[in-house]
Amino acid sequence: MNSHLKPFIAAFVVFALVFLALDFTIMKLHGLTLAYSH
Amino acid sequence: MINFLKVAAFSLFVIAGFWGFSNWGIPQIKPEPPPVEAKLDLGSMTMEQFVALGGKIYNGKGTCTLCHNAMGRAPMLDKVATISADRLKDARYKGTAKTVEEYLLESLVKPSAFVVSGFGKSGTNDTESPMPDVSGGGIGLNESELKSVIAYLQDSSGGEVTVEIPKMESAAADSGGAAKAEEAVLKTPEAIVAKHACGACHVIGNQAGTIGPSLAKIGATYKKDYLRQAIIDPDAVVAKGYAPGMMPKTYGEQLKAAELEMLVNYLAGLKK
Amino acid sequence: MLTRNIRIICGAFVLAVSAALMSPMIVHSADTPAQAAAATAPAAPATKDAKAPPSDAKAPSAETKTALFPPAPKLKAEDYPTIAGVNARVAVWLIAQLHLWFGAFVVAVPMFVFMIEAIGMATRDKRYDNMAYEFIKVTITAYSLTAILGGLLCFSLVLFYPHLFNYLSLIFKESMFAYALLFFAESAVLYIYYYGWHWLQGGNKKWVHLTLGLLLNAVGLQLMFLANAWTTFMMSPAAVDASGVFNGDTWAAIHNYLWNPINIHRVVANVAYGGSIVGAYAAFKFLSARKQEERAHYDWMGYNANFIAIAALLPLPFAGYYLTAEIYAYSQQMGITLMGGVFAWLFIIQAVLIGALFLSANYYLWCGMGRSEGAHRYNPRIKYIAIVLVGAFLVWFTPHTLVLTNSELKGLGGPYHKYLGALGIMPAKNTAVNFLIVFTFLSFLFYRRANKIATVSWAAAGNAAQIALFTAGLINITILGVYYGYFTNTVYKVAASVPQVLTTLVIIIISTVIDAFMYRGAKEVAPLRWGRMPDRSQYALFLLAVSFTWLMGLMGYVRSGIRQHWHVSNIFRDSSPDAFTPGLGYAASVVSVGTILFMAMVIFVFWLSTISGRHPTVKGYWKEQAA
Repeated sequence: MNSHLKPFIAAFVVFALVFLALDFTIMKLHGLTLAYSH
Repeated sequence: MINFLKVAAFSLFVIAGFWGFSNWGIPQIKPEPPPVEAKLDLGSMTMEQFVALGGKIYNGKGTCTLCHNAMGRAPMLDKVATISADRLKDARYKGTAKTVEEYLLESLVKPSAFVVSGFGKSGTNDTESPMPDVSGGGIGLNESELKSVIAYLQDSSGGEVTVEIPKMESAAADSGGAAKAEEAVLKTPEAIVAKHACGACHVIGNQAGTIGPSLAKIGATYKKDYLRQAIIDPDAVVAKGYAPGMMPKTYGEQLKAAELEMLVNYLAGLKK
Repeated sequence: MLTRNIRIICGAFVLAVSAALMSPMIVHSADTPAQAAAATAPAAPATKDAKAPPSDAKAPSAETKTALFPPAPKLKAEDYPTIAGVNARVAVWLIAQLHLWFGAFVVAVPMFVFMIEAIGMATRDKRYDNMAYEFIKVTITAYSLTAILGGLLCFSLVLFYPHLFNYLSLIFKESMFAYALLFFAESAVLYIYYYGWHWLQGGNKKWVHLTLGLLLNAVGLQLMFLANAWTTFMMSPAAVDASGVFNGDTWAAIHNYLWNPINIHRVVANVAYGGSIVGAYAAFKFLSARKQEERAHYDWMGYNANFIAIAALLPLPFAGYYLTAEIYAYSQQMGITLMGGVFAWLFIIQAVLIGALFLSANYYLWCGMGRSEGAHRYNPRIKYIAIVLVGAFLVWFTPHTLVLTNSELKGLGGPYHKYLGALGIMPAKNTAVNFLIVFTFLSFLFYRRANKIATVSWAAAGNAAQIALFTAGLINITILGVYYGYFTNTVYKVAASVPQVLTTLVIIIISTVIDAFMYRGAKEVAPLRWGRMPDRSQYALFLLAVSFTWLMGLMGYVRSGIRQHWHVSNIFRDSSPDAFTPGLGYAASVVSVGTILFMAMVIFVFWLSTISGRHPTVKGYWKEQAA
C-alpha cells in the first residue's frame, strides 16, 4: 500500500495543479475570475 | 435464416421502444402552427381589447416569453413602465426616446440602444443586445402589433397606457415592416429614377446598366408618347437587340400620374 | 510496367488537382445574366412590389456588370405542386434522411479504411488489409444507393418545392454544378481503389493505393462540405439582405455561420456512425459463422468497429455542444427554441439514445474482456463503472421543467421537482456526460490491460499516477459543474463547461501516454482468444447501430424543425400546407419508419457483398461439361 501512497500523493498534487492552471487559464480567456465575483 | 429473424426482431423491438418512449414517455408538446395574418378591425376596438391583443402577441407570435421569464436570460418586464422612466435618465442611455412609449418602441426595434446591465451578448460589455428587432424577419410584428404590445406592457406593469389605437387596418405583416402609408409625390425626376432603380438596367444619369437600352440620349430619338408607352407597357415595342419580358410592367401602377409626366418630360429632354 | 502505371495515376491526379484549383475561378465569376432574375420574378405570384432589380443602390451602380438576383418569393399554399396520395413533406423528409444515413456511411468508411490500411502497412499484418478491403466492399453498394437517393432527393425537391429549389440554385449554382462534377472524381477514385486493391499490392504500389484512399476521403469530404453549405444556408443565411436578395458573394453564402460547426459535427459523427454500421455487419457475420476461424475473424472485426465507434463517440458530445453554442450565438431565439422551447423534450429523448449508445458500447467491451483469462482480475471493478454509467445516464435523462396539469402544479409547488429539478439544467448534464466519457475510457483502459502484466520497474508508481490523474480530474469536473453551475451566474456557468471538457481530454491523453509507456514489453497473462464471445455481445453491436441510426434521424428532425415555418430562416417563408412543425410523437413515427427502411436497405447491401463471392459448381449445365 505504501508503495502506492507516496507516488499517489505526489501525482495527485501535480495533476491538481495542472487542472487548476487549466481552469484559471480558460476562465481568464473568458474574462472571468476563478472565484465568482460580480 | 434464424439469426436474421432474431436480429430483425431485436431491431424492431428497439425501434418500437424509442418510438413508444417518444409518444408516451414524454409530454407531447404541440408546436405553434405557423402564424397566419389575422385582419384586425382596429376601428371598432376598445382600449381593453387592444391591450388584450397586445397580451396575445406577447405570449404568442411575439415569442417574448421565450426569453423574458424567470430563467434569467432577459430582464423581467413586470415593472417595465416604471423602470423605463428611470432608464431614460440613466447616464448610459444613448437612444432617442423621450417618453416611456418611445422607449418601449425603441427597445422593440432597436434593442441595442440600451442594454440592461448583465444582459448583453457575452464579450460586448453590455453594448450589444442578443434580442432581435421584432419588426423584422422571424417575428415580424407590424406597426399596429408593436403598438398593442406596448399598450399591454404599459397596462400590465401598472403604468398609464399612452398608446393610441392606430386608425388604419394593418396590412399583412408578410412584408415585414410597418404598413405603407400614402407617400408624397416625388419632387424631381432624378428622385423617381433613383427610387425605381432605372440605372440598374439602363444607362441614365451617372449609372450604367447594360440590360436595357441606353437612355442617355433617348430624347433625341423618341417622342414623349413613345416614352410614356415604353414605361407603362414595355413589351408593346421592344428595342432591337433586346429581349422582351425583361422590363417590369408595373410602373404604370407604381408611378403617380404627376411622376410619370415628370419622368417622360425629363427623358424627352435627354438629347445630348 | 510499374512506372507506366505510376505515370498514369500521377497524370490523373494532376488533372484532378488542376480541376480543383480551377473551381475558385468558376465560383467567383459574378457575371449573372438578368434573365435569371426576370424569369423567376413572374414565376413568383403577384406580390405588392414585383420589381426585379433591387432598389438598394450599392449593387448596380458600382460595377458595369450587373448581377441581379430576385428577392425570396412570397408563396401561397397553391404554389406547391402535389401528387395525389403523396405527402410531399414526409416524402422529402424520408428521402433526405435516407440519403443522409447512406451518405454518412460512405463518407465515414473511407476514413477509417484509410487508417486501417495504413496500420496494416506499418505492422505488415495482412489481417488489417483484408479487413479494410472487406469494409470497402460493403461500401460500394452503399455508394450506389447514396447516389440514387440523392437523385431522388433532387427530383422530389424540384417536384414539390420548385420555388425553393429555384431560389437556392440561383445562389448556389456554381457549387451545385461543381458538386455534380465531383462525382466523376469520387466514382473514379472509389472504383480504382476497390477494384485495384489486390493489384496495387507491395512496395510502391501499396503507397499509390494508400494515396488513392486519401484522395477518396478528400473528395468525399468536399462533397459533404458543399452539401452542408446549402443546408446551413437555410438555417443561418448569409450574403442575402432581409428580403432575400443575394449579393453575389457565393463564398460568403457557403461560409455561413453554421457551416463549420455542422462540418465538424458531421465529420466526427459520421465516423462513429460508420463504425457502428460495420460493427453490425461484423456482428451479423459472427452470429452466422460456422467455422471457428470465421468467428475469430468477425469477432476481431467487431472489436475494431466498436473501437472506431467509441473513439469517435468520445468527442462527439462536444462537437454537438459547440454546434448548439454557435446556434445560440447566431440567433438567441433559435437557440432557446432548440433547448428551452418546443424542442426541449426532444433532447430528453436524445439523452436516452445516447445513454443506450454508451451503455451498449461499454457492455460490448466488458463482454470482450472474456476473451482471455487475464481479464478475470478486473471483473469485480466493472460493476462500479456500470453504477457510475447508469447514474450519469439517469442524471442526463432528468428533465428540468415538467409539463404538469394545474392540480399537479399545485401539488408539486411549481413546475420543477424540488430536488431532481436541479439535475435538469446544463451544468448537471455536462458533468454527467463528462463522467460518461471518462468512465467509458476507463472501461477501454481495463480492456486493453486485461491480458497484460506490466514489466517496467515503475509499474506501481505508474498505477498510482493513473489513479491520481483520474481522481484529480473527476474532482475538477465535479467542482466545475457544481460550483459554477449552482453558485454563480449564467456567464460563469457557461464558461465553466469548457475547462470541464478539456479536463476530460487531458485525462484521456495523459492516461494513454502513461499506459503506453507502462506496458512496453509487457507479459501476456493468457492468450487472447478471438471468437470467444457470447452471442448476446453481438446484440450490443446491433443496439449500437439501431440506436445510432434512430438518433441521427431524430437530430435530422430537429435540425430541420428549428427553422419552423421558414424555408430559409427569416427570409423565405414556408407557405406549404405542411409548413407546421410536427410534434415529437409524429416525428418519432417518421424517424422509425425511416430507420426500418434504412435497415432493410443496409441488409440488402450486406447480403449483396456476400453473394458475389459465391461460386457454386453447377454440373451438366454448360455444354463444355457434357462433353
